Amino acid sequence: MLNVAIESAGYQDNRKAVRNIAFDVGAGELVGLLGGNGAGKSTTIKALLGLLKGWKGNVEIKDGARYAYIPEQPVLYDYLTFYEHLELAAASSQGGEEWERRAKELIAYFRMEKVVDDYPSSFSKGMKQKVMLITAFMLKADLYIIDEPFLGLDPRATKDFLTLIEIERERGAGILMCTHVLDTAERICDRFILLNDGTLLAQGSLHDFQLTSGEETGSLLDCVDTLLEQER
Amino acid sequence: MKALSLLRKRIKSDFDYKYRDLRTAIDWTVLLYILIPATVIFIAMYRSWWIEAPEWTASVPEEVALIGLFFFATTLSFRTYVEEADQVFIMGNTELMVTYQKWYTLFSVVRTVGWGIIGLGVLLPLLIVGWGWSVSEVASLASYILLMSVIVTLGKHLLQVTISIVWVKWVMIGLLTTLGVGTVLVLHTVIDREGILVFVCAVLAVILSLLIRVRLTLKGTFFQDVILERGYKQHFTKLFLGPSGSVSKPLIERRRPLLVKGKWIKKNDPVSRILDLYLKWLVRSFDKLQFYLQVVGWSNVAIYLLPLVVKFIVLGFALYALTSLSRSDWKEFSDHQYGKLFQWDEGVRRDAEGKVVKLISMPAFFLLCIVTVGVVWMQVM
Repeated sequence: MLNVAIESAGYQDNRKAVRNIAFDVGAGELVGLLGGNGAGKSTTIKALLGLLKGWKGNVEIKDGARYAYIPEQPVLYDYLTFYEHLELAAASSQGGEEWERRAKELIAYFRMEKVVDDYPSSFSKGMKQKVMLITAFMLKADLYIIDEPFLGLDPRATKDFLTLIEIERERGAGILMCTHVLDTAERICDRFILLNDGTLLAQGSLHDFQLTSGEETGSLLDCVDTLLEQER
Repeated sequence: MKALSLLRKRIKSDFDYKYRDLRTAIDWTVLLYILIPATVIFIAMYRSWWIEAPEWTASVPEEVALIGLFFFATTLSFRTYVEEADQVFIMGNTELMVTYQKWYTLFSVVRTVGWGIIGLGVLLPLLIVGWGWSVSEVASLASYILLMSVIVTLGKHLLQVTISIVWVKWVMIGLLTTLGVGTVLVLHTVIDREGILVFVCAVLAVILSLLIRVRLTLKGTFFQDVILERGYKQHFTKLFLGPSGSVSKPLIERRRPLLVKGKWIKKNDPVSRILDLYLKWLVRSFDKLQFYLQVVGWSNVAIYLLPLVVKFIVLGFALYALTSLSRSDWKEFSDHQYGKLFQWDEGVRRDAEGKVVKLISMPAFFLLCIVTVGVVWMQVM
């Protein structure tokens, strides 16, 4: 579904935040993108979405596949209502006729019915994040790129989100999820990509991580911690 | 760090920030063709006022100048220069904070007085040469108008940080300003009665010291101060970049749109849907709409007043300005971060842009054409 080979990317020419990162995400696969603060996770995501200038490399998305991106920080128009945001997303990306029914289902699913005609600027951080999730899932994309989805979500919304992820994965969508919440990632992800200081440190399943790190029965957190410690 | 050096550092940082904004907006062409000639003309006019007052001073009552001076003297805001991060550092250091409050209060008072003196300096030749004021009358005016300007400036600040209901706040600020204007006008009628003036100035000084005391002992307004300071710091940014690239908060924030609900464009194809949403966004972003109205309004005035050939140049310029403006607003709308969450259909984006530019700039341009034709026809007839 997604094939990424980034030679270099960053925000200034002389300071490349990420270098030589290559990975892929298959259909129906949930891949966790891990790493400490400043490891290059968000830069990688921005590069593969084409949001950075002057990056070198190649990103291939399967022919005809559509992606949806959920950023770490909710980004919303000040003067469009919640529902108008969904309308814009559907119209701009040729969401077809089905979007309206799907939008209503998702609004009910996340218990946001009472605020559909409100400006999202009046929403809490968690509610804004729900608008982002509804926008992405409404479009029934083939590939989801999700950056720190759990920030600001209450426990119920987190559970709802994980259920939706599971449904989308079963539908055949590929998901690349960047997160710091390693216990959740361990539970739901098929594979992991670990970045450190802008380079690819390790990738594979939990079992692969356990073998590489020497933490044979360790959790994902133990493996990641050991791998990062070995790199210091 | 000591309180005074902290304040000094923040004043410098505020100045640098604004200077950067000014440099962005004012390049050498604006400096060469507008600011330098305007300054030279003003200096020449000012010098001529000392020799002979302009004719209009004979027909304009001096009270108008006093009201103007009052508004000028109260233009600046009371500044605290607090920043959000202060809650972590300074708020824990009570002694430093108390000294810091005293310094910023003193600075704001001195700044307002200095600004009032500048205004008075500009008005001085008109008062002395034009309206025949004596030096003692000017000194009396200076004492009460400067006191009033500081009271009103500080009073407005206290109302802004203590009242949360927007309309109540603005009504109170309006009342305070009216009271200020009224006091200035009443005191003008007794300007030659020294005893009354001294008494009133003493009362004003007591009121001012009470207000300063209120400000120094006021608790629980830290976050309102931070919000106000953020606005003051970005004053030039908003002024120059307000119409494009940024969105200002409305005077009264609403949870839901007041107007422009439902569908404006009934068609259901993607381009019409985007067009409908764009129009709603534009109309609700009042600053943007206001900018279009200003372009149309000033162009109409110019077309009405200027010579025949220049009318058509203005018409051409207005078309260019309207098209550029609508393209820039569309770019802001379609390049918004929210639009990066999904893949745009490029055909839909292109079609929508074409229609947006036509829909927004053409009606305004037709209006200007009608005005031009009408004015030319009236002149020819």
